[in-house]
Amino acid sequence: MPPRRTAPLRVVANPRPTPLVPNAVLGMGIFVFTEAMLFAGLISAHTITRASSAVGWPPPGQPRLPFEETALNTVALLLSGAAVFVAQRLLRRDHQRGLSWLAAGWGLGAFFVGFQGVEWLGLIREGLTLTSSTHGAFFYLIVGLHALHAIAALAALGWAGLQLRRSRLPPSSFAAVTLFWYFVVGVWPVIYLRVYT
Amino acid sequence: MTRGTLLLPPAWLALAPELARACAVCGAGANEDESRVAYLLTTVALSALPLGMLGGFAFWLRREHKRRTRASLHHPSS
Repeated sequence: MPPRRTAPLRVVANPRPTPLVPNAVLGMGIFVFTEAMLFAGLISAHTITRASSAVGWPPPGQPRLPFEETALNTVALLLSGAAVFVAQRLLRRDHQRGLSWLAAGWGLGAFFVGFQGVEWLGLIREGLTLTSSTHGAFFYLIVGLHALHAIAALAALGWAGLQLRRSRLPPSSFAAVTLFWYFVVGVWPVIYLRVYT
Repeated sequence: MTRGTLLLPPAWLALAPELARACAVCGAGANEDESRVAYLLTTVALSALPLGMLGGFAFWLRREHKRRTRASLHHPSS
């Protein structure tokens, strides 16, 4: 009996190749997209209200926002973004140093949020509240929303750091968390230059 | 109808926006010129931002796809 001829073995491409964008990063990207539009809408409303103000900006009797002091805070947040970026790069080669940079980034972010809390207390004491004027309403709405994002992103970064220490975090999840933090860092200079000036 | 005739009404509205100002709050401010500029700038920003973000993402995807294709051609086993 002649041997049965079988098809030769051939190497086939991986039927499920690695996606260009991991699901976690894509999901976070869509979220960041919607949040960017939310902030853009609020900043636009602020810009138009400010330009249409008949009594000047800030309105009489309302305090000027602490532009100079907040510059220091802005630098701290930008440095935090840079530190997280360095951490992301380092984690592939030197895990321990990467974690140290991540902790530094987290600390600078926490400083930013804490400094803002102190700044708010001062402004409330000076009479700027959510209902004192349109100026106050916009300030607390936009800056408060950003602060909420910063707190959420800090919590996510802290969680990611703990998981990384136990080596239990997939790189895609860490990339998604850092994308959120880069958004928080990236949107702040726009808010600072539009709302504080 | 020629293309020129079709483009005439929007071109007229763009060049003479005073006639098309239907929004009740557009002229409500004291600084009319300043608020008009603010409306214009925010409209441009709000229109360009989503397009810019989606365009940037599409550009990045294309570049990444090309980079990966090139890498797989050089190292077919990976």
